[in-house]
Order: sequence, then C-alpha cells, then structure tokens
Amino acid sequence: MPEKETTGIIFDIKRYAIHDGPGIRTAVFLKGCPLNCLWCHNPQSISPKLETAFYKDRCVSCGRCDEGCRFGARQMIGRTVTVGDVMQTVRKDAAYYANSGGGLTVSGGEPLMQPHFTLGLLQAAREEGIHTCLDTSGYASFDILKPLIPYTDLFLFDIKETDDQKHREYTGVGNQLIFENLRRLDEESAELVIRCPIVPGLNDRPDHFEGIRQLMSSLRHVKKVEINPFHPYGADMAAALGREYPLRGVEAPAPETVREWEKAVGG
Amino acid sequence: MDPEFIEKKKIDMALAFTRAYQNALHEHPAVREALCLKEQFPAICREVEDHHLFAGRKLYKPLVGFLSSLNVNMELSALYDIPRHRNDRLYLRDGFSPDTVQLMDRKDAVCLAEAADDSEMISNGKQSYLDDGKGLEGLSLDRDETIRERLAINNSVFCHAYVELKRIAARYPEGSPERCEIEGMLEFWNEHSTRSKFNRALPNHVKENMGRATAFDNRFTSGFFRQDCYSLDYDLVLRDGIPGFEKRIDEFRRAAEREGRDIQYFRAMKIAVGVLKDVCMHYANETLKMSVASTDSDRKEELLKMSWTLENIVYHKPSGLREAIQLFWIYNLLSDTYNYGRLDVYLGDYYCADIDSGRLTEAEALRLIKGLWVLISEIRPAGGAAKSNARLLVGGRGRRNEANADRFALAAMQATYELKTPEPNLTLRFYRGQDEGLYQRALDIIANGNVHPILYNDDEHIPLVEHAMRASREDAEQYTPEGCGELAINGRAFGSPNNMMNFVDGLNLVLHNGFDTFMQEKRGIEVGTLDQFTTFESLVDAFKKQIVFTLDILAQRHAVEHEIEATEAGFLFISMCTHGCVEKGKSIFAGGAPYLGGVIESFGLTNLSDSLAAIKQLVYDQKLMSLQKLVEILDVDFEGYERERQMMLACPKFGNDDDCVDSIYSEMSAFVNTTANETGRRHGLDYFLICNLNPGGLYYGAYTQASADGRKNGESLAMGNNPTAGRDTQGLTAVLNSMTRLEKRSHGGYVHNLKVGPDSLKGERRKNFDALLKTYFENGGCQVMVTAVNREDLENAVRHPENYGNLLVRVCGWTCRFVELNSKFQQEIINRTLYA
Repeated sequence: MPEKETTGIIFDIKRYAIHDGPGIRTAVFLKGCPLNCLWCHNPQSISPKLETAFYKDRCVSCGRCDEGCRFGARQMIGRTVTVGDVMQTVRKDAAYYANSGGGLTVSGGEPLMQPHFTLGLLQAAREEGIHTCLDTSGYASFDILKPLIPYTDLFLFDIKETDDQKHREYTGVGNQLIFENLRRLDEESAELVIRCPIVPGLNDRPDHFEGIRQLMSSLRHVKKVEINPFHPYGADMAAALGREYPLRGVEAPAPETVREWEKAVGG
Repeated sequence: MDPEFIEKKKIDMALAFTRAYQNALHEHPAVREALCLKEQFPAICREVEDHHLFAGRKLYKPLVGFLSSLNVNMELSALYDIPRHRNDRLYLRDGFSPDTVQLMDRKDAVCLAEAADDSEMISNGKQSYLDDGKGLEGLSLDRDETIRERLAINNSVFCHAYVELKRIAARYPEGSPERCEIEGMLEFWNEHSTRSKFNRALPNHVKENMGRATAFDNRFTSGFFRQDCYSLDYDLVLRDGIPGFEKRIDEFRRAAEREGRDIQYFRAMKIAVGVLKDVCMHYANETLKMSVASTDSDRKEELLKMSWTLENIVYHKPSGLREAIQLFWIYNLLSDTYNYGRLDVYLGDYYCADIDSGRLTEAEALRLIKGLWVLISEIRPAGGAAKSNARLLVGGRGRRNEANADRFALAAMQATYELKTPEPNLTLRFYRGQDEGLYQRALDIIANGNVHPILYNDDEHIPLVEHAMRASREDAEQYTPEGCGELAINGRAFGSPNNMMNFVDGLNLVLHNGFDTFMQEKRGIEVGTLDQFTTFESLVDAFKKQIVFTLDILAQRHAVEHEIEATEAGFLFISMCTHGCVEKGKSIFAGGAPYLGGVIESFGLTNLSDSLAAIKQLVYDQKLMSLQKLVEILDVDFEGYERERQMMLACPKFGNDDDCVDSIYSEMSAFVNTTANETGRRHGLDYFLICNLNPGGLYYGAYTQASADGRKNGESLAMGNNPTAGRDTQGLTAVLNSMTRLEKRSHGGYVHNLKVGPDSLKGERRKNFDALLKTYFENGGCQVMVTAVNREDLENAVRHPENYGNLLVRVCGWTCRFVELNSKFQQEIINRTLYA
C-alpha cells in the first residue's frame, strides 16, 4: 500500500509533458540532486531545501518582502507536498494518459534523493493504473533503486559522460556507480530509455559517442537512445538563485548538428 | 465601370424600387417584396470577372433595397470623427483610434447599426446622445440628421442608404427636379423603412431599460436589427433544380387553394422564382457576349460553358457539379445569405457522379470548388479583415448521402488547403464512428498553418441543440454553427444574434447599485448597496437579479423584431429554402420556420468568473479587504493599489483546471444560459440562447472599467470560452479540462481557441496532440479552433508585415490575416498562451 501521507519537496508539476517519456504525461519535479552538472537546465532542482529566487529586475524596492512579494521578484522555490496532493493533480489527466499511452513521470532533481516519496508516487500511480516513468541520473545506492523497479514501467536513464574523469569534471561525481546501476537495472529486465545530454564543446566528442555505442551494445533492455541537446534556459534561474552558470555564452546547437549527434550514437 | 454611370444606375434603381414599393403598398407584404426584388435584380448584379468560373456577384449595395444580413453601410470613413463624447477620452488614452474601427470592418460596422437605435430614440424625444454637443461645432444639421449623416447607417429589410442619398441629392441645385425626387424618396423611406417601423414599435420601457445603450458604447447591453446567422437547406432547390422547385410551389399552392387558404404568399414565391430565372438568364447573356468578345481561346470556351450552364439551370435540374454550384451561388446571391450550410450534402452527389462517370477529373472538380471558394473569399473589401465571415460545413451526422458527402468533404478541405484564404470558414463536423480520414485530413491541414477546418463535435452539439432548441433528434442532427459560431439548424431554425451583453459591465453595475461609472449615469436596476452584500451568495444573487431583469428586456425586444418582420415582408428566398415555409405558404417569421428564436452575443464570462472568484477569496473567505475597499480600488483603476491588484491577479483564474474558479464558471454559465432560454420562451421565442464567440472581448474590454480579476480599465476581456490571454499557466490538459466545465444544454455556441506551436502537430508529437484532442472531445469538449503558429513569426509579422501576408490566425469566431489586424488585436493574440 502506498503511503499517501509521505511528504516530499517538489518544485514543479508539469502537465502535458511530452518530452519525458511516451505519450501525454504529468511530470513531477523533485527537489535535490547529488550532481552539479555544468549545463544544469533546472538549477532550482539542485538544492534539496526550499529556497528563494530573486529576480532583480522585478523588484520595486517596496520593502515589504516579509509580506510575501506581490511583484514576483522574490519567489519561493519548492513546496512540501504529500503523495496524495500530487496524485490529485496527476489523476485529473488520467483520460489523456489512457488515450496517448502516457502517464506519470517522476523527475527532478534526482528522485532517488527522496526515495520514500518517489516510491510512494510510483506506487500510488500504479494503483490507479497509471503508467510510470522514473527520470534518473542513476546516482544512488542500488539498494535505493531496487525497490522502485517493480513500480516503474520505464526508466529514463541519463548517460552524461562516458569518460570517468570528465564525468567528475562536468557533474562533480564519477560515472562508475551510475554505469553499475544501469547494468544491474538491465539485468533485472527493467525497461530503459537512455538519455544523453550533449553540450557543444564538452561532450560532443567522437570518443564519447563511441563510448555510448559500446555501452549500449552491452545492454539488452534499452528501447531507445535519445539525445538531449544543450539549451541555455537554466541561465536566468541560476542568476536568480545567485548560482554560477559556467556555460554562459554557449548556444543551443543547430538542428542539423543534433541530427548528426543522433547518428553518431546510432539512434 | 465609370463611377458616374454606376451612380446613375444606382439612383435609377432606387427610384424604380421605391415606385414598385409604393405601387404595391397595399399588396400582401410578400408580394410587395417580390415586386421590389424584380427591380433590384439583376439591376445590382456585377459582371463576371476574368478569373471567375461562376457568375453571381453584387455590384453595389443598393441605395434603396431589400436586404437582410450584413446590411450596414461599409463607408466607414464617415466614422473617423464621430462625436463620441465620453468615449473620446478612451480614444486618446488607449490609442483606440478610428483606424481600429476601420479594421474591425463588419463587426464594428454592425455596431453602427445600433447607433441608429440611438438616433431613433433621440427623435422619439429621449435625452440626446450628444447633450454635451462636443464635436458638433460648425455643423448646421439638426442632431438626428447629424447622427444619420455621420454614422452612415443602413437598415435591414426595406432600407435606404441615408447618407449616400443625401450626398447625391446635395449635388443638384436646391429645388431642381432631380433633387426633389431624391429628397422625396428619402423622406418616404425615413417613414417607411423597416428599421423605423421597428423603432416605433419598440415599447418605451424596453428602450428605457436598454439604458440607451448602443453597441457603439459597448456597454452592458445593446442590440441590432438584422437577419443574420442562418443557413438555408439548398437541397430544396438543388436536388430537383428550378423546374422541380417551381413544381413544388405549385403543388402546395393548389393544396392551399383547395383548402381555401390565402394564396398570396404562393403568388409572391412564383414572382421570386421568376427573378431567380431572370438573373440566370441575365448572366447567361452576359457571359455569352463576353465569350464572343474574348480573344483568349481557353477563356472563350470557359465563358461559353458558363453561359450554357446558366441557361441550362433555368430549364433543367443541374446535370452536374458545375450546374449545381452555379445554381447554388445564384440562389445564394438572391437570398443575401452568408452562411452556406452543409455543402457536402448538397454537392456530394453531383461531385461523385461527375467523377465516376468521367465527366470531370478530380482535378477539374477541385478547380470548380476552388472557383466557388474564390467567390466566397472575395466578399470582402480589398485588403480588409473578415468581411462576411462565411461559414460552410462538411461532415457530421444526418447526411443523407454520407459516402458521397465524405468524398466532397475531402475535396473541399483540399481547396481550403491550396487557397489558404481567411474565408470560407470551413468547418468539419465529426462524430464517433465517422470516417477517421476526414478528421485526420483536417488536422494535417491545420498543422500546415491553415486555421481551418474548425472542429465541431457532433456528440456534444446534437444533444445540446436537441435540448436548447427543443428540436427533434432528426432536426438537431442538422445543426449548423453560423458566422462566428452562433448555432442554428440548417434550413430549419432561425435566430439572429441581435442582442449583446457584457457580463463584466453587468457586475460593475451591481457593485454600484445600477450606476455606470463609465457613462456616469444610471444604467442598471437597484439591487442593493455594498453593505447589504454580507455574504458572497448575496452578491451573486444581486448579479443574477440584474441579469434576469435585463434578459427579459432583451427577449421583449427580440419578440418585437419578429412581429415587425412577420408583417413587413415575405423573406422569400430565405423562406423558400427553409423547411415548412413553402408547405404552409408562410414566411419564416410568420409561422413558416420550424424553430424561430434568437441569440445573445455575450462577452466576458471568463472575466466575470475570475472576478467573482477573486472577490470570494479576498473579501469573503480570507477577509483581506472589504468589498467597499475593493470597489474603491477598481474605481480608481488600481491607481496606488498595485499590491492589491497583484493579490487579485494571484487568485485562481479560469483555464487552470482549478475547481475554485471553474465551479463558479460552471455555475454562471449554467445560470445565464438557462435563464436566457427560459426568458425567451416566456416571450414567445422558441429559443433564446447565449453564445460567446465574438472577438468583441477586445473592444468591449476597451470600454469596460477595471475588474476584480486584476484587469485594468480598457484591457481586453477573454474571448469565447477561453481564459483571459496569458492567464492559463498549467498546460494544455488543464486549459482543456477547464473549458469542458461550460454548461452544455442550453447555449447558443461557445468557441475555444488554442494557440499551439506548429511543431506540436508534426512528426512524433502529432500523436500526442491527436490523443489530446480526442480526450478533450471524449471529456465533453464541444469545439476547438487551432492556430498553429510560432511566437517569433507573430512578432516578426508585426515588424515585417510584407513577409507574412499569408499568416492566418483565428481571432475568435473569425479568421484573419494576422498582418491585417490592428495592433491591439495583434497584441492580444501574441499575449495568448502559446502551447509549445
């Protein structure tokens, strides 16, 4: 039985999400991530705590910050919700999921940072016959991942960098645990979609593409390999949170380039 | 053609028409109409142009004539400096310039008709519209004349172009026979025009309680006098052609004679059919002459074909698609109708027979269909916005020849796809079980940046029409959205949208105990002072009281229209293709039509609901401000209260699948829809339905004071059954879920716009979009109009209109080339949430 009262911290619920798994989905974004990717497009997802974003250009210096900003200059990022709260929104679109082969996607941040809440969401959706996706970087102990397998119809699993040293450079952590988890998921016959963020000048290298191809050839349950081309949308939020955005000035690749990358990974 | 020659022709025709009317003054009104029509047609017929495949266009609007819908003078230059007293400051403040008026073309032009109401009221001794006399210096005309002069109003049914006639008369020396003749004619029509009779017949209490409101004021309520938003069942004339049509009239005439009933109406119909034949023969001769004169061998042959076709249809039932389209078009010209109904039914058999027999190739048939589309799309001023807002339908239940009709429907969609013009407003009706190919083809075309076809869900609309119009299932299957989407039944139910209501203004009246803070005068009833609204429910009750009272006035007004229409004319060409009229020998208004009702154009239901939700939350639930304070803030247009405005904006908004506000929306739509219908029936209307589909949200908004949803003075209201532009933030499924909360048993047509990125409809993502719409319709979605467009394209089109001539957008119930819209409309469309 799912724990409807289990709480978690989320920063967004997106409906008609069509980029995070098959069909029409509702994506729940959990707050907190053990990685710190240079290109992070959701900088508000990194910290596991509630935080305040400050948009300087919207501030009218009224001095009434403590009343809660009415101008949207100060925005609270993140809210604590129960599994039941989230499901109230998720089930509103059940008919859309049924007609499109869609469902719930638990994303983040890194959902494995809030394992009980994630498990609660997946179980609750499953109980209502809603298809489930788990969008993960795979960076967690397998003990955390394993109990989720029976309730996850599809894993959206990120491969960010095949070179371990570079992985540390780009994300702050190595890739060995991630690849080990991927292998074990595959052994457990979990359905997998591999998603590869590709950033111009960082990991758009032939040896990385080759590394992805090799990795894929060793796995049996990968349905698809997707390229997630870099986009700079995280910059404004990073600024509002007072975070560094190291990739300032890097532009989104042209569609032709993306198609070449897709070919390079054999997608 | 030489303008002087045309003017001479116009005057001659006006004089002849007037004489015919005077000679027939004591005839049966239908006979009088028929005799007048003989003078009007083919006199006002325009010659065939080089690119036309079919004949049948009007050369000009008659100076004196018999007309129904769209009958307003298009010479909007007369409006440039209308003295609008209090409105002037809006002009200045918002840049709501006279250009706006010009670009709004018909819609605003129709508004002008309303101003005639006002002028009539002035002549009836009401307080002057122009009391402050602003803008009148140096004018020697008396006030009534000034308004007529400035507003360039024509009227409906028997009507005259007052302004133009005045202008022409003034060119002749005073006392000259020409001038006297024209002035005499003017004087006669000032007395006898149908609009004048209508205004005289309106009871004073109705006039009073319309609050002297005009559509031009864009206040709480207003009204038109016109016959609009109906379509005919052309099967009645196309299946057996003119000979069969005539035979049918004769048969019923004999039956009437046997039963000793009055046969005057039959006499009139016979004369009218004669006019129909005359027009065909007129064009047969014209095209023959043109063929002889033509030096281009292809065109020569085409014209000859046209001539044979025109002659043939006089004597025989249509032998193929070309003949059927030609007869359809000429009949349509005479009926003065701008909605065409179920074209795939009328033309499907002819289309298929021609192709299957090898008489036409598919390409040739498509060329003919496109030829018809071109004629329809040309009923608009060069470069102007939507003009006739011509609607035609394909698909749906209740088609006697579904397989053939489906084939025609695909060809019709192809014509629309290839031409990519704002009109006709091609509409696809569909139901569960219909050939899926039609619906899929429609989505393909929309994905390509064409906003047509508009999608109508039969599974919702048929039960709706059954209930709302108390129609039989069989009749309800023939429902047709007309114009912007006002519901009627093809060739069966007739109800002009002649009443306007702005709900946001209505709430403002209630919050001021009937006082209009914009016009600075009393325009509503007294429903109580703010301190009496101690609960949210008591406020809502007060609002309902105001609505109940006003709907009653509107229904009475509409009933008077019908009384006048029933005795004024026979509406022959409309009636002859409306079921029941030929059989009974009666016009649609005199008991012929199976259903005779009315429609109310409403505005601002979304903003009303959002406002009530904000008041409920801030004043009654959270008690963050008193109602008095809230009203005070609205009265100063939030000046100095930005924080409070942000609080109002932060309250739940319709379009986000939020039950707090959606349930209010649901309740209010149910209340206004059912109350209107009940009220109409009390006053003898078969139905009286509220629709919400015009782009009036923008110009009504321009004259509507600040509202509690955080909307400032003059900002646009939401359009149709949509969220206010940009206030829907929870995604496509959320907005569609909110839209299905509309009351769906008693309304007269609500439209739903979706603005999506073109990529959403292409490739992999198309499947999701298909599933989205499918679910929406299964969940009870009635209708949707999809504009597939990028934000960048819209913004670039503002800067470089020359490169975006083909960018079509669905404004509300009508389609426009984006670059032809004025900047306010463009901005409203840019502001709408774009679902990528």
